[in-house]
Amino acid sequence: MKSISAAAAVSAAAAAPAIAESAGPIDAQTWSFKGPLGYYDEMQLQHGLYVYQTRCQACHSLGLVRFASLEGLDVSEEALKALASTYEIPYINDDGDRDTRPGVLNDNFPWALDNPKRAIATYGKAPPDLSTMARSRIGGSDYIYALLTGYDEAHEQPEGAYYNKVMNVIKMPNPWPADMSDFEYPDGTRPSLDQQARDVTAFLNWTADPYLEERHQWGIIVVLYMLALTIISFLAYRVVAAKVYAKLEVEGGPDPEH
Amino acid sequence: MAGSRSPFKNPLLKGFDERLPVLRAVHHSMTAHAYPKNLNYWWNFGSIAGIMLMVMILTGLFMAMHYKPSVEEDTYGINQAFRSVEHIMRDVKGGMFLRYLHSVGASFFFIAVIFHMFRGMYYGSYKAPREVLWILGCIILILMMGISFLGYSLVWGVMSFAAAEVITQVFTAIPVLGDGILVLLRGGEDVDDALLNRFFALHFLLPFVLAGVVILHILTLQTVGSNNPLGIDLKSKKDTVSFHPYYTFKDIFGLSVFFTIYLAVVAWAPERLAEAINNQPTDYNLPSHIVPEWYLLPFYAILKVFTWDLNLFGLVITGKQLGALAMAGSLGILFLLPWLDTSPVRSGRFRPVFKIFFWGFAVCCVILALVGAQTSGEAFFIPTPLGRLPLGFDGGNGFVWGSTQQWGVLFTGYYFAYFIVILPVLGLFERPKQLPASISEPVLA
Repeated sequence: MKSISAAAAVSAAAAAPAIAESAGPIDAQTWSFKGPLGYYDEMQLQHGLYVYQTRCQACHSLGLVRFASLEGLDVSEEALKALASTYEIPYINDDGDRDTRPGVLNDNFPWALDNPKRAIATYGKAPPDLSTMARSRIGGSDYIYALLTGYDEAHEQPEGAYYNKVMNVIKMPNPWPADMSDFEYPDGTRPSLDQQARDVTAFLNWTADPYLEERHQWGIIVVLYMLALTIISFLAYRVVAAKVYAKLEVEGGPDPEH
Repeated sequence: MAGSRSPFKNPLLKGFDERLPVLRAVHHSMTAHAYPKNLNYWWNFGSIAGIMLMVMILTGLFMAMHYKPSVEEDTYGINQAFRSVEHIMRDVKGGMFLRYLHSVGASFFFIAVIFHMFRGMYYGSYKAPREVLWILGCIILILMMGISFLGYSLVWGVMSFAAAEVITQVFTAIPVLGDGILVLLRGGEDVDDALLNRFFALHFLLPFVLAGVVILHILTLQTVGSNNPLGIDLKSKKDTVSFHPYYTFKDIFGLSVFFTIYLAVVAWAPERLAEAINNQPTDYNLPSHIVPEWYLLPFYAILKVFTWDLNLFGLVITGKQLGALAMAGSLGILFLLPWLDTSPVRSGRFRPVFKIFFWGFAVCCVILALVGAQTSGEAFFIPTPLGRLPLGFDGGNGFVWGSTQQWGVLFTGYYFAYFIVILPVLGLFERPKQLPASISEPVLA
């Protein structure tokens, strides 16, 4: 059973949330979900989920994401049940004691730090929930990608702070270990740091906007419909206008004095 | 009207109408009133705004069935209000569409009303006999600003808290009564559960008040009649058409264009017009840079532009009070517009000098919006597709020439000067062009 209280995996340095005070430039990246026909690459999302589990969830929660909703990543229900059961969900048992139970589909991802007070006691400031992160920063997924790939160990920083080109000084430690040569996804592929950053960013974009594909498909249909309606209503207006003008010549409109 | 004969031939309609004469009232208002035949596409925005109000009320009603106005935080540190909004987006069938139709809809409602008001200002639609019509419109604008601010607060994100905190604070600028009003608005000393609950109650109630004012607005319109691009009175039956079918079809076309754009934004850029940081639940810290939604920015600029105190022979008015007064004044002065404009000519088409100052006023509102979005002490810039166009620079010694604040003062000045100086004086000195004798004359000639 995977322990979620792996907070110790991260250095004991204070991890403060990244507030949108961007210092460096954020370059636009190519994403499958950008553009009017943008869609999610489910394989990439699954990889991103794995990166989240490996590198993010020791500190950051996904408190708005239900396990059941991960079917959007094209994962079978059995696999999702198995995934959920690897998490321990705190609850109060029938004897009234605090306990944990294996997660079920209807649970949200639990928080390794359990609650904001413990997070603050541990890191000085609570690491932000990542469910809506891709929607809550200017630049969205480009911002997250730039931040994740923006660490530079060469810049000296005071104790407990790190250099990041997006924010200059950041309290979130570099999530990437120096040696990742052995790291591989469950399907056996060996991603580069850049690939991992892209995959987890795509996953976080999905957690923030899980119905993006539906909206894009809806948009195509609705806008085509509206364009057709616009053309038809314009032609109808011209026909009506011609008749009204013709009638106006002969008998005029309503009496302005009514 | 009740005494008139039913206009319907269909026996079912006729029978119903003879027992409850509401259908003939609608029929009468659509066919019997004289509308000018020359209304251009700028006149579409009135009915568009009306439809947007209905869209907002409907989408809002269904979201209210799922929304929880509670600041209580769960173990993730996410408050229940924010969570319920996300619940609508994630778990409610079609909820994501409802939410985005509503949040994007607020922006498009404002777009429609802004075009509608500028049209009225250009063609002099506020002048006699349409003063009451204009004033009701101003009341609608102020109600909309209040309602949108309340709705934006309900999300209880970072900007919701900042908005609730800052805007309720504005009322403390009122001498003596200010602190009492603050407690009344907040339901206590702090921005807390009581505030969120009353904001929700008011956000639900006020749109219906708004709808009531809209009905009065339309009743007034039907009494005094529409203005038109020439700004001259209707002279004969040659000048008029009934609303149906001509303007119903023209409005359907206008609505189609408007809704195509609106729905495209919902589909592909639903967050484009909103402040991104409000998608994070509040931690009750004020962010370093607080901005309201775009449609409130010009008024926000006027609010924050005063950084100095005014000493009137010993009576000190603080910068905060000046800002609050100026913001209230910038809205209040709209009510006086029918009497401040002294020109007897309504339409800007026949007022060559007025035209220049009118477009200057439109630019002024855009600049003020940019000022409202930027940081006071820094060099002001215009965002363009090619990058920032700087209108200020650092003069050294910490002094910035052309700072956002300085541009703000300049254009706040123009905003008020337009109403208090330019329009009254212009009417006395401007030589308007020759007005046509009637609407049909230029059309036929």
